[in-house]
Amino acid sequence: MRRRTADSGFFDVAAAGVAAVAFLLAPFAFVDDARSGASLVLAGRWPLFLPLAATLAAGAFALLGSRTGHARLAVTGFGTLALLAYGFFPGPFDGSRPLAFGIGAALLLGALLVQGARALAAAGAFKADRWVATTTVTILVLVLLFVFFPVAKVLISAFQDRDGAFDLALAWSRFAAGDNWSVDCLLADRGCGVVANTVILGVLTGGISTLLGLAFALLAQRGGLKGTKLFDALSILPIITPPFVIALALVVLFGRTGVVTAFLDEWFDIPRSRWIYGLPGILIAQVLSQTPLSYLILRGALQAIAPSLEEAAQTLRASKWRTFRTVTWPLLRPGVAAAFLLGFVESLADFGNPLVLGGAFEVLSTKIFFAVVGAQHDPGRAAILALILLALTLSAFWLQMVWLGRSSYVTVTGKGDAGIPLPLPRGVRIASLGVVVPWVVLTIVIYGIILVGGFVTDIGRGAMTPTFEHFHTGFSIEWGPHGLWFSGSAWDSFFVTVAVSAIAAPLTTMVGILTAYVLSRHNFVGKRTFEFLTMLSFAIPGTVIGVAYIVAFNVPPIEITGTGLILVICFVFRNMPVGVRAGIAALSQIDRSLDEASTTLGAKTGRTVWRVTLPLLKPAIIATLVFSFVHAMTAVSAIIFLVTARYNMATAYIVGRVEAGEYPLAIAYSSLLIIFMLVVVIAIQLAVGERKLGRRGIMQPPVNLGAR
Amino acid sequence: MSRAASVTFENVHKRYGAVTAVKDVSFSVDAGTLVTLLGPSGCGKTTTLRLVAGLELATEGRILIGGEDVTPLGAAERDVSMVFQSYALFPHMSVLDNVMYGPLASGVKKAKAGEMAREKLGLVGLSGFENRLPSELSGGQQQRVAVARAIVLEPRVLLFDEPLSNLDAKLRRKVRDDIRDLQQRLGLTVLYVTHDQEEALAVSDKVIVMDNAVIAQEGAPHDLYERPRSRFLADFIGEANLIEGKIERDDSGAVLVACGVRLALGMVRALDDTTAIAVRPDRIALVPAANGACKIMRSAYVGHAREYVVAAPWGELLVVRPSREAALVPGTAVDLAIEAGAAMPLA
Repeated sequence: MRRRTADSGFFDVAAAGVAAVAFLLAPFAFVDDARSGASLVLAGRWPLFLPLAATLAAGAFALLGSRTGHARLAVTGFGTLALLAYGFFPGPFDGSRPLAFGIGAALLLGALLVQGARALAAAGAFKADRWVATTTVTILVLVLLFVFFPVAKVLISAFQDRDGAFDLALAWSRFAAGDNWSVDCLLADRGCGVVANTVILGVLTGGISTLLGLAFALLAQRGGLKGTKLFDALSILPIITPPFVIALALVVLFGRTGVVTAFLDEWFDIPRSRWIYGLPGILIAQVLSQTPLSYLILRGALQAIAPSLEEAAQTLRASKWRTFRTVTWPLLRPGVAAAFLLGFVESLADFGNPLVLGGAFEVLSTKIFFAVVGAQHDPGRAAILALILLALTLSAFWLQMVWLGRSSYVTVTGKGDAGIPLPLPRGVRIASLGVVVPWVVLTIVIYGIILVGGFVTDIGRGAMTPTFEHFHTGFSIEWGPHGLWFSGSAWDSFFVTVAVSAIAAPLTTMVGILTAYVLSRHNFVGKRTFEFLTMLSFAIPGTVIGVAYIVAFNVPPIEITGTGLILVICFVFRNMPVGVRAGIAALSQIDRSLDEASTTLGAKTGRTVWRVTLPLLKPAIIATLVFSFVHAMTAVSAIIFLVTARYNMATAYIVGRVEAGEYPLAIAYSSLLIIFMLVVVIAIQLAVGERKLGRRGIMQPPVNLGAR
Repeated sequence: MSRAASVTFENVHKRYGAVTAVKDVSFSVDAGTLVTLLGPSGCGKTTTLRLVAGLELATEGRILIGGEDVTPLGAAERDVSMVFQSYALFPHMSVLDNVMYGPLASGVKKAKAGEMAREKLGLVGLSGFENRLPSELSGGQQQRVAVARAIVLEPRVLLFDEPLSNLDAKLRRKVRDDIRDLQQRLGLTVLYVTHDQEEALAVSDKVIVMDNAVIAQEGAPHDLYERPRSRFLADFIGEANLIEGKIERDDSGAVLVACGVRLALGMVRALDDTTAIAVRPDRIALVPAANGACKIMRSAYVGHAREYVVAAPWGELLVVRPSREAALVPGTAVDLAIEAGAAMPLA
């Protein structure tokens, strides 16, 4: 059996063919223009002929054999540059206005990319592996287009005035404005600037949620409690809860007309006030949603500490407390730092809670939003604020790398480690219980409010008459002249949300897992940069991405704002790092020699991935699917900039109801969303089998990536 | 199987950045022979094996299989199979699917591939296990599946990467013999990596010893054991005592003078310009003598023999004597008598 394959030019020729047919028949531009590439060339846009010629030439070269790599690289590189240059700046070529790229253009660009990647491999890059080359180049270009390009554009627009001219003085005045940086709240009895507000909130949220998470984790792992299942169940809730829902419930409980407020007013004569609006309210809401994630991180960190280390300390005559202080705590510290930084970053990125509870207390994410959509409409200011927010988040991540990179103690050795973990010292246990019990009660009350709130007249004002009125407004179904008619006002946004999420989830998973595979299994020049770019979108707060997408994709050549496509793209590249992390974690558990065995048996990379790697990655793939679906359903920060009347999302619709003061409808819709996602998650678990989905280490990494 | 082909390395280098894993290595493996790559961990033997497989590509030099230059070809394009240290059985596939994987990847029809797989499973004695999962087999059975999977394509060269390292001691000897038996019966060209010198001596037609990315010495097993050319070789293959000194000649033959002690070596060739010899521990006799130059330090009884640590003027020696000889207690002064022809000159 000879195993020898020539580099058939099949794919290169096929790519050229598809591009050529599309050039002749498919609409080249987007939306407003149905003309094909060919007719556009005839109509005077002659430069469009150049990239087509390039892809045809590359196809022809490929037929000549594999030694034409450099020549193909040159023509495809030229074609790609010509297409992009003409797309962005057509003026110098033929004096026309920019063209929004459509199907024809996308296929042409895709053909050039595939050919270019294969030419790279033929020229010796990527260890001559054409599959890896094609996958890597495709993902890289997509990430450059949909993450790097918009963010870079925001960066630039921060330094431009309304007409697009560069104005450093203006940028500086936007940057240095007093309401950005003031720290008066620390010195005098006045409000702080928005940056100080954001940082103070972030530090408080990170600190408190870490403390609470630690208390939960210690009790669950070491406290000898029976109720740890309850903790685990509670820890799933924030993942399926849209971010502002907790804020809603807080308003219902503690607002001026809230249930608790009214009770305190009537029975204890404590006057009604608006204390919940501002720092206290946002803080409580963020801590409520962040604590479970801290709990998961810290429980993982506790589990990773080998009990034998503590037993060793005890046999050396250390007391319980001394062992905890000198062995357990130092080993736990990296986990604590990770939980704190995640809480900080999540607080910075949070948009829903400050929007509902902010009052006069402004944070960066909401300020950016109002700078874009509010009365002041100042995109330049929004861009500067987005830059500041981005800088804050990136420095938190940088800190995490520097800090945790040095101090991670790996105690997992692969050897079975018998032994019993140290029980908690009495004082720590009592303190933990004292914190945890009220917190669990508060959480249960809050979710109770959300579940009950949709079924009573107006829970926010204490009107508790049972009613289906809100569900009727939002979700009524009637028999119309054309059969079933979803007449409720919320149906449209619900269907769009489910459709967009269902389309985005598999795409996210595919891009994420393939990226993870390439990163963990192949070496090539520029791998570090590639890794950085693919993880970049995780560090960017949703509000920044939202602004960036509007700035970048509102104009040709990629003019897709207002479509459903931009929503899908936004989700795919926002959630892709979840898949990358999950994939890398799972791949590190799979022995490389399995891939190599497949290769030595004559399988090409594509076959190896399909037959060996992907089947073994199934748990990670399912977990990523679930998470990207749920994240898409609950996202609000980036999406709120991108929705339109036609493509509205559930979360944006709910925020709209909140702003209009229609709390009961908002609560009803929220409870429906939560229950819908719960059903979906449980259904998937039942379908795939819980054993695979719940496996530790695969389920966990995505949880740490809760950034919305 | 007459498809077996020779393997030739011509001045092959493999570098990873500044690190050189394989440096100017040239050797050849004749068709139908079993050759071992032996060496301490990190010596470059596994990299050499992976270079043959095509899992690594040479930085410099040429690799030929069956006289044909395969240097730029990747693993999927070379007619070479490999049995991995971890066996690398696909855990989500049955035994039969594992063995069928190669033929299917090469475009063989499913029925024919199944037939080929069953035949090879029979050859390794695993008929009836086709539908098991790898996790349902013992370590030795898994190893045999890995072998069946590797030979199903009748590769021109078969590679083994430390195939015995995951087996327990009793099983090793049997599996080792099975591999040798299979290689002889099918006339395969086999390249075999191990760090266990006894294993290498037992199975090979030729052993290539590597150290520090280069070939230290190659030859038939008894050649390496009897005529090591360097201190590294003498010490790495079997146990050896290194004695430095000056060679003199007298009527009875060569004499080594080390720290004033004269050791008669008998008639030994090509000794004149060497400054050190190696002697196996079982080729030295201990003669009690009141004014002996050496002294017994410790002794250990290990069943078939007694092992003595002997203090000599130039350092310590290990001497192994059959346990039927009279025991010498620590503190006894002795003279050394090296068996004629037992001294191995070192470069």
